[in-house]
Amino acid sequence: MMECKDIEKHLPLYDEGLLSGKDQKAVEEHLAVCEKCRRELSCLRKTVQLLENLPPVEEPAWFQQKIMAGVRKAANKRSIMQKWFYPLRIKIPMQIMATIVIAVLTVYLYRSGDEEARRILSRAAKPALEIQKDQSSTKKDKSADIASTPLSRPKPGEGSLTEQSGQTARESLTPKSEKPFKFSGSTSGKQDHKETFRQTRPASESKDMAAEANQSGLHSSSVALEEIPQREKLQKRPSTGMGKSRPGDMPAAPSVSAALSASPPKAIVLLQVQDLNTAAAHVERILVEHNARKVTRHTEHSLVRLSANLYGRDWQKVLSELNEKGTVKEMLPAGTNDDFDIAVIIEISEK
Amino acid sequence: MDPLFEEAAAKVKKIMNTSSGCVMDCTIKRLPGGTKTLPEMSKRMKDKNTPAVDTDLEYVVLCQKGNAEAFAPLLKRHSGKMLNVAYRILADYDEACDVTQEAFLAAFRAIGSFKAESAFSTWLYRIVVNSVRNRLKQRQSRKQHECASFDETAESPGGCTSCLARTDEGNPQQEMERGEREKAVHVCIETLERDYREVVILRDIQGLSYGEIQEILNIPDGTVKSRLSRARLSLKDCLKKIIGEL
Repeated sequence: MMECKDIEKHLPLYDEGLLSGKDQKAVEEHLAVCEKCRRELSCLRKTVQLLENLPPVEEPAWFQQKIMAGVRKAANKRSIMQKWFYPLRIKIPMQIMATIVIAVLTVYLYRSGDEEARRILSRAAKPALEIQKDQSSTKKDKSADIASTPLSRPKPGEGSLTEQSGQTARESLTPKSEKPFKFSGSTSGKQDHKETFRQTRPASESKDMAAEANQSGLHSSSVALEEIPQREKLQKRPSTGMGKSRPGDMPAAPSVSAALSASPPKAIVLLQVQDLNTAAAHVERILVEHNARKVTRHTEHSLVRLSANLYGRDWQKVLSELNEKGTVKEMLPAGTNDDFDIAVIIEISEK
Repeated sequence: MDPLFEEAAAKVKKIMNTSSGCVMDCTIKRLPGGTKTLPEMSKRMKDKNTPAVDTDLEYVVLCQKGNAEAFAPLLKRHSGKMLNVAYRILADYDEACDVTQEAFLAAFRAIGSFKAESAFSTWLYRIVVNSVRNRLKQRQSRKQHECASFDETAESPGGCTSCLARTDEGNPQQEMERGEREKAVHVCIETLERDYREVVILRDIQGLSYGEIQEILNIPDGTVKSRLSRARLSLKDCLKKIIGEL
């Protein structure tokens, strides 16, 4: 026989018949004899009835409308998403398009970034050029040498060597190409490395040309061959000034040697005249008359630099005519091969 | 269907029709040959409110197809029940409204994931109960931050006497007595722990079946029964203390 305490535990579920058969029967038997437990059961029933009869809470008037407003808002948002991204016939082409756009943009940005970097680097080199120019002009005042500064002076709008076509670089072999190399020491290490790399091609080209010239017994070939180790030495010590590299030379020699080391021209001539402008015009005319190609003229405040390409036979005639105009110093004598194409630089300054 | 059950149901109906719809006032009769009682049957009648075939499904399918307006009938059918559950568990009317709204919106957003494995109302109840639980957690953490000396008023803060539905107009004394009893029940429910409160509200107030409660709370049948048993005993003791002899 169960105690009232045990029976009480079963009472809440008794009315629903949820007790096991044995417990159900035991409770039933106990209730028949125990007034207290019957009272308890009655209380439990009333409790349950009170719960059941609790009035349902009323909704506020705005309740359903507010929820529906939220539902519509959510549905709109979802329908836009569905419209754009759910049907496969839209989704797949959109994904493909997006991938292509991203790829194109990436390539474009990468390339434009490269160009931008080049432009920035070439701009960054300018202050260094200015410093070099000042130094050169100081030296020039002392020694009255005319060649160093103009060779190192950048031409406005002149691109770096890499911007020129391979053909142009090969043909001209002008001091244009010296620029990146010459000032590599004063620019950042990264640029220095880059420019050293750029010099590799002209060097190999000059080797080829030197070998070629050697076969035909040209004097210039030996000069070119000599200049290669010199250039390599300079590249190893980029911070050393060019002027110091060959202290025994004439004051103009540093820039000339730099020009040679960058891409050696076949002939460099210094011409000292009375009237600079007239002489420059005459020399230019002479060059044109003697079938010179790619005649370029750079005017500085106290000197004029003319560069051109012409054949050996014409060069001899030009030289003889130059001798009539003023004092000629042949810094780098040209070969005698009449058919050989010579890149010449004539620097004209006042006496 | 059990013929005894049918007979009993017919009796209950008759009584309800003749005694102003209040089952509580009826005499409880033990029917021969069984342990079924009238309160149980009235409960079963309540359970039958949930139709065998879920008529919500057609609207659910429409909602799943993107028809937001099809949610309106679902809302109309279930909002009262859901609000009632939230109110009874939270014991705060404004919070209950807030939580129920959130729950319905959450249900609409997640309606695509409804697989009709259970009734839509069961699924909704589950969402509401979870939302209520989250709100209770927030409330608890908020309380911890609040000043402990905050003076609690004698009246329960979220009680809503005006929003409780009045089914009939009795004499003022009866009304007052009923009001007091309701208030006592409300207070006693509040004293229960959350787990017990949930079960007793879902079973005795909402009249859900044990199976539904199992699904909503995701607990085994035995646990539902034991929790319900303890909750009823606690409520009985509490009410006895407040009202006296029931």
